[in-house]
Amino acid sequence: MTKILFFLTVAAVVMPAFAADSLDLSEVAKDIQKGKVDVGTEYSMSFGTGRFHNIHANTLGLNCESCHGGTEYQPDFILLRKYEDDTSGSPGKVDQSSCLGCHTAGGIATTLYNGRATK
Amino acid sequence: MLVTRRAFIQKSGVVAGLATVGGNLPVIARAAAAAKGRGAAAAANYVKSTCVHCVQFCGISVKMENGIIRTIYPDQARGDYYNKGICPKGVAGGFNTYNPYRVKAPMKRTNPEKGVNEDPRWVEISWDEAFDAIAARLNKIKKEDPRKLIWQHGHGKYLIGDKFPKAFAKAFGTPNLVHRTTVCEAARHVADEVTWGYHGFLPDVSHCKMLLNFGGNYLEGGQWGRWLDHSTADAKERGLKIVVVEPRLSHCAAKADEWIPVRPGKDVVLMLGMAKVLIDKGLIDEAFLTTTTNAPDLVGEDGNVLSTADGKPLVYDSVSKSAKPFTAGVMPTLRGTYTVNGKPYKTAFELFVESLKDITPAYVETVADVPAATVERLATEFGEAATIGATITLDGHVLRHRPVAIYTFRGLAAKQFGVQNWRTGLILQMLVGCVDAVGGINLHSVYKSPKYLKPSKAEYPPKRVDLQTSVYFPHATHNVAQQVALTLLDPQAYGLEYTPEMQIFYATNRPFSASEGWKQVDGMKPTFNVVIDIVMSEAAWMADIVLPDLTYLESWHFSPTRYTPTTKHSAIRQPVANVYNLPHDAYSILWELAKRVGVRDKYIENVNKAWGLKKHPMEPGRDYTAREAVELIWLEKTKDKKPFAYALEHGFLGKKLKVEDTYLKGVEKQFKGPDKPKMYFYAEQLVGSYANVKKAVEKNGIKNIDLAAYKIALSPLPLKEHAFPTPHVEATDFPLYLITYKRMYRNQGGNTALNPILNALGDTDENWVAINSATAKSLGIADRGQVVIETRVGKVQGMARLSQGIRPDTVAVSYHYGQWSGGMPASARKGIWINSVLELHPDVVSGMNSFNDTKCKVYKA
Amino acid sequence: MTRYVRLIDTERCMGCRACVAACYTENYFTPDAPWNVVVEHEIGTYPNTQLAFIPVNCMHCEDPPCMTVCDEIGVHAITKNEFGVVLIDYDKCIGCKYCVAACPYGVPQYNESLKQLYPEAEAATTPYEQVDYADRHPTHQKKAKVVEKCTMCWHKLEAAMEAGKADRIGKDPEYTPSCDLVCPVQARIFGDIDDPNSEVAKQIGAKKAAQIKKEYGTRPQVYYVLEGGDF
Repeated sequence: MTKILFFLTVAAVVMPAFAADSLDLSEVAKDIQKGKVDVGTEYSMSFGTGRFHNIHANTLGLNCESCHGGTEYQPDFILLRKYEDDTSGSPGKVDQSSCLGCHTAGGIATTLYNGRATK
Repeated sequence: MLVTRRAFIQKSGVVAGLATVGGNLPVIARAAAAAKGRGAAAAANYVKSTCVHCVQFCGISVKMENGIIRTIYPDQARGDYYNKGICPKGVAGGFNTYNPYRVKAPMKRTNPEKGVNEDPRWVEISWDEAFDAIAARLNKIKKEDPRKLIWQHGHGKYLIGDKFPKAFAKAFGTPNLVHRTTVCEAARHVADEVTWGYHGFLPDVSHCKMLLNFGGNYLEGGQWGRWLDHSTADAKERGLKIVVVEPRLSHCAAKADEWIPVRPGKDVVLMLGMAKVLIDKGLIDEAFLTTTTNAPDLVGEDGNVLSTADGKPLVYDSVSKSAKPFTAGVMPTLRGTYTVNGKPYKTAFELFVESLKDITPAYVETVADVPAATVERLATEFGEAATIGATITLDGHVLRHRPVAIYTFRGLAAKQFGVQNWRTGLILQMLVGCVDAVGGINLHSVYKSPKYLKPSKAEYPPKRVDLQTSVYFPHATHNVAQQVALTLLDPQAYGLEYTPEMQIFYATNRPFSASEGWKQVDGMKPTFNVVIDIVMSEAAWMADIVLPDLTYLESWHFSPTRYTPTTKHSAIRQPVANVYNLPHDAYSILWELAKRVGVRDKYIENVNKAWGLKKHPMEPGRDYTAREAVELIWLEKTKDKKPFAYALEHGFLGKKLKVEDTYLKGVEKQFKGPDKPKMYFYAEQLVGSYANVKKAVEKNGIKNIDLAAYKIALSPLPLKEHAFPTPHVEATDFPLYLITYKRMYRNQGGNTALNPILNALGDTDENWVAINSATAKSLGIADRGQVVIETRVGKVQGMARLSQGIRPDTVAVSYHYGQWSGGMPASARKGIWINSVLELHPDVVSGMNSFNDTKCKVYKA
Repeated sequence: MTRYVRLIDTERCMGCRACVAACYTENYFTPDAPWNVVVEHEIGTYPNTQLAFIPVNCMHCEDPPCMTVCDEIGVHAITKNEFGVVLIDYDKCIGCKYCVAACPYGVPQYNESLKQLYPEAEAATTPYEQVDYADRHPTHQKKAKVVEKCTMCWHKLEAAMEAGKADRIGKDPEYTPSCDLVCPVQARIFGDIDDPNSEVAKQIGAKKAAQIKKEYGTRPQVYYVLEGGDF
């Protein structure tokens, strides 16, 4: 719980720079891809220093809850990592379905899913 | 170094686009050669052996790399005879051997106080010192009264076989050799024995169309699991319907077509209700019942079968209209009441039908909580699927075709009325005639021991410390494991004429494995205890001397194996390592002790007898290494068909049975037709056994036998009373039924608790209280919250797991967790020792420990 | 072409986890970094309850998002070879966990520290754990702070290639992934889907097996006969 509170506090400090509903996310995404936005150089999940959360949380302004759901996966959810403790202080479990919108072919972000469909 | 190897595995690498795998080989070989010495895996060799982690005895192929046990695979060749795969215990067997917590040297206790919280203050001693100390005790006992020595084994029976210990006990002169079957399935065996003269059965899965499984847990831990698993999975794909009857959604239930969550302990009423439906609907095999069973025998009002002066039972002959022995020309009548010599007699079948009068489907629903319509449907489906009267031709033999079977293991057996429970299952199968029929239940070695069909002498005083076959447990033919401790706590109470002084425990964790476990612990206090084991088990914690043993991957043995209805095989176990360079195992310990008490030649004589070594006997005057012994036994048992070198290379020699061996050597040969003994639909010998018990009690003024209870237990036919074990009647303040079960990842010996692979398979290092979600909600219990289970004999605490797969009135806990030995680290000691709070009400017929009869309260901790 | 695939028939799977244990022992498992897991869950409400067992290991996707993201950031630690096997190069992996974030099957395991098997032992004392890295296949030369995962027992497939015995893959123990090898009920079958006569190809067809989480378009090389549905 301490870690979650810490996370939320940090988020509250850095996030007001962008209010998600006032942004055109596709434009921001383009800017990130072109290097116009400084999201750091560290490829990591570390909050505050790593690019991952710099991009998704700080720059795009996604709420924690956009990706991090409850404390447990649905009982019938199929995931190898399902029973593992999250040791990184994550505020909740992640279901990659939240990534699909942007990261699927034709989306605003790097294509990770359904890439073959457009090839 | 990965980069080098990746040169040929990258998607855009040099071999991309080649049409076939074969085409790549030269490139790959060159790349591999370049990588050599830079991380190439060592060459492997494989050793064929037999797994003895449990009692499946699976064929294994141990993968060795540079002398290291890398992993263990199933022996593919064994697939045609028994196991196609192996379970996680077998896979992870290397850590049974590599376990750093193994006992590595003989240890002597220096703290005279024994107990859970007493530090034994172990001191390491030499093997010589250990043998000296043990032999000194043995020699004293041998001189005074050899009966004061008790040898107990459990898994040891399978590690080196019980024949060596039996030979030692014989040579030494003690009757007290005690195996563990009563904490496993003894009641099932005894029910078989009092019904058809031997024990063991399997469904004829490959031809079966409907299998009713009453709590047999062959997909989690039950015996014959590694054959039943794949054979039932294959059969299901061919259309076999499996119905599982048990209070918990076990893995067997999960894989079944239907799960019937019966109320614990009430199966017998369900089966009797089904019997009534079958009889009422005429779905019975009259031909089988009249020609092969004693259902037509005439029974007097005293319960005894009417017999000729020389003991031939009489039936009512429909041809001559008179009571006659079943000889040629006689047509036994199945039903009716007849007067013979002025006295009324009913056929055994008639008695059974009358006893079912009130056991209607509606009654079953009330008692067993199985809907009346389900009882009716299940019985009807079973009776119809039996295709009574049909035949099938296999390999030129016209055979009875009754493709239905009932299976069970601890589900029916591990109860206060275990014998009667499985007797009911056998009676149901006699009703539809599926016994030894194609697709039915296949019996093993029918009528091998005719003495089982005779009354027990109910001896008193008991000869053995476990009271086997005495007045206390008149048909206990598989020892009474849990009774030893209880007798030791008060030998005079049972009329024992001597006071045991020493116990040797070989690979058995007795105090951990029986109900009311704390009494079992206390039962180790009065004696000098030697424990031979690979780990510091709970038994070892209570020992005076602990001797290390070699593991099943480090030692030789002519291994036990499992038959199937159509195969049998002989196998060996061979060592692949000796990690701690131990000079002895239980096998050589026995030789050493035999020498030190001066009975070696007598031991050899008894070894030859026990193993039946005639052509290849051991010669007196010398020791035999385990390898030499295995070679002699192999040659003897395989009748010199294959040299020992074959065993070393292949690990086993299998045989496929002929059709006539499977279907015509059992009840067809032994029981069918005139002038033959019969399968006991009516267990008439139990009437005689009860009379003998009564006589002994009255003659000797025995106070601790309740005759009324024995009369119910020794009933010749199952009764609805058999669905009401003591706690169900007495523990009225305890609302929930408590049942136990086995998980795949553990045994009770302690060594699996120390296996890091088995502990890491996901929720496998701990057990829990499985409780119905609705019940938990009403009790304010959360998933993974801590709860207390309280019974009339104690309390335990552990984690609750909420489930929709268990009856709302029942909680289930697996029974091989919660080790408490101080010789184990915390990671091995997690979970609940459920045996410590189970009430012990053994089945007085067989001596079977009751594991599934207790009632309890559950509340938040 | 040759594409190695696996069929997992959850109607046969009895939930014993022998496949998990086999994966562990074969691949020098270290605690908290499993390559193979059996997901177990109940379906329905008492008494109409079912229990499903779903073994999950790397899907070896034809379009693996883990590899895409790794390439995208210029690390190139993940490759997919022409047999379809997706592998991670521990020496190249920077431990960024982007692949962990991208994989919809939860497969990649970031191994924070290489834990010994016996938690209370003074060290990794077993001869098994002490096998020198020089005597281990590269996929078994585990490293801390990198990501690892199922290799389809590449060390065995590779050995088959080297021995000219590719035709024995899926048949002989030394050339077949260990999880598939030990299954007591043959709920797992491994082989070449492009060989119409292979057991795996035949059963995928006959049992109407399918890939899971198709919405990601990853096209896994693991096929399921699935009790309890895909979620």
